[in-house]
Amino acid sequence: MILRGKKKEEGQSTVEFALTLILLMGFVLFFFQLSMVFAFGNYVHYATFMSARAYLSAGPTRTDQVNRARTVIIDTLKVSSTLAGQDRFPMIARGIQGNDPAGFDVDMSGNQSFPAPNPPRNLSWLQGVRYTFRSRLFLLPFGGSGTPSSGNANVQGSGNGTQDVNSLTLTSESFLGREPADGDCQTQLAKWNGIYDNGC
Amino acid sequence: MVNRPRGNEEGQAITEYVLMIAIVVTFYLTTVGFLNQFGFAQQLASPIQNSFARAYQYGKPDVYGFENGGPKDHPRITSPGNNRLFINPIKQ
Repeated sequence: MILRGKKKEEGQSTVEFALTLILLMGFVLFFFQLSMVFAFGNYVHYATFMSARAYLSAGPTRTDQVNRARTVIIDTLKVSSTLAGQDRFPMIARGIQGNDPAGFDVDMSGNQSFPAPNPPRNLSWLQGVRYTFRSRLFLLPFGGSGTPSSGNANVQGSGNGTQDVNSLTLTSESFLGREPADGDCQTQLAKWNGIYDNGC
Repeated sequence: MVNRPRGNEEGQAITEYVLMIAIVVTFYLTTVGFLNQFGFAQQLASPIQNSFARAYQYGKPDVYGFENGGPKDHPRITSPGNNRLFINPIKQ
């Protein structure tokens, strides 16, 4: 009778371990994933900063400046120039919004005043690079999905006003401004109908 | 009784295993259901999705941009209520 009782208790710790392991792994993987997202976020800050530097530097045309900024983002955050549509670390984060490549955006509006000035201004020092990416927070199906977020996490996010609670959308911005390109200078001087100083 | 044929006991372990798995899965689904019902995941992720997201984007957790009801304390906006420097900000 005693032996039978002990036999029935076999596996109890295993069952309890399995039950607690679910929650335990949920927490562990959550913080692991969160640390990976934070580390990747720092890397994206560096990438956008370098991209903004490339955009800042003068060049033949504004298009050339944008292309240089795009090249930096592709080299740092995408697989390669031939695979610019694929993220380098898709298990951590994927670029969203923007285009060519996904997540990348050059803010050339130069008009960030509030209320908006009239006439609108286009200030070269208010231009920069933005990269938006989305990461998964819970590796286990712990947080459900499809629940609208009450916060602003859908800032420049899905675009449909809702966001899965299981994901985190972050935006890295670097606004270093833009030096006038040679083409801008030529255009400006052409308006003045003459050559001033040494030209461009 | 002691020498009962072993054949009758075949499958007992796997049956118990299946029953136990059913209990474990049911318990798991019930727990996750309760956590979702009380918004546990939302509460856990809210500081990250809100404060941290704004601190990451703007450098300060209580900044609001154009896209979320702002601007408020926006670093690139020069108007009352916004500032370009986060050093010793003045509450308004």
